[in-house]
Amino acid sequence: MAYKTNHDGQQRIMNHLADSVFELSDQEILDEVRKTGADPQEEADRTSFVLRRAVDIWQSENERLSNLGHTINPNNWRCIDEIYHNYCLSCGSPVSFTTAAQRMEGNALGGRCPENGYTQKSKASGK
Amino acid sequence: MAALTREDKVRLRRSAAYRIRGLGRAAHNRTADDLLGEAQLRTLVGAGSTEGRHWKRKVDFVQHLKGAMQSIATCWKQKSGDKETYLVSEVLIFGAGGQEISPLENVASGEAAADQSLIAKEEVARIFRMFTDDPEATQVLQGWYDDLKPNEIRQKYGLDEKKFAAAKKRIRMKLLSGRNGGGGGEEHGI
Repeated sequence: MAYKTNHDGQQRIMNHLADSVFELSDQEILDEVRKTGADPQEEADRTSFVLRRAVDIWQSENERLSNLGHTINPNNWRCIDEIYHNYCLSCGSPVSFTTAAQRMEGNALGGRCPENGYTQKSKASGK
Repeated sequence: MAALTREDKVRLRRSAAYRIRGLGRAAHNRTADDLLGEAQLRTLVGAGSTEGRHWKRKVDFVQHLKGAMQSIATCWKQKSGDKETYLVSEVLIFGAGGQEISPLENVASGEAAADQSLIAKEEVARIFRMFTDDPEATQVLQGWYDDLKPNEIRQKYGLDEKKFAAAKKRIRMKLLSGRNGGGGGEEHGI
């Protein structure tokens, strides 16, 4: 028994198109982009920017957490319904990250880690 | 990321744009940038974990991002679809004898759902209309619409490798050229 959903026809066509660009040689993809009036270097730069921005966001959010004295194990992220969950190894406060919001949230972001507060202060005063 | 070539980056970007376009209204104004960024972020979050978008280093990073974008786009579509209802005529099940059976026989369809469906159908029709003077491109589109594999399309329509590749190229260029009523890529992030 086969399902037919006309609703997905557009997606099927576009998915095949999306896959087809990976079949092209380097020269072919550059030629195609130029023929559509676009600049390959601009497109490449834009891709670099987007990928780099994601790295910056991830680093910045981790720093924000770290600056509050919280320590997480990066291997402990668990994804539930598109929300990533983790917890501070010292105080147990939960922290979550949603890629859509590009932001960490949760109790851990609400204040300094009570377990690591002294360590952080000592580090700060030792500078 | 540093290992990505200019051509890799262009492929990823173009691929993202097509996937976003494939989402139709389910894209909810997301762009190719959003899809690429989401794939990268999920990779970073899952870098140390065995869950989510875990990048297996054996897999080429381009292939990984390609797979991540495919998965995310499918997820977005499904999430959007969860909130939608369908017209009875839109979801047909074909029985063993070829007869059409509607699984939604007793489900009422709303006016909003009808609107969404008509828009999606019109977009597919619009794509086909763009190639009315190009029978080979139309055959490839029909094959993709029917989700046929490349060799099945070539066999069904008698297209050799060269003609098949040329038809695909014409489709790609027309759909993202921003000319000839292709809609262009700007709205999708190109």
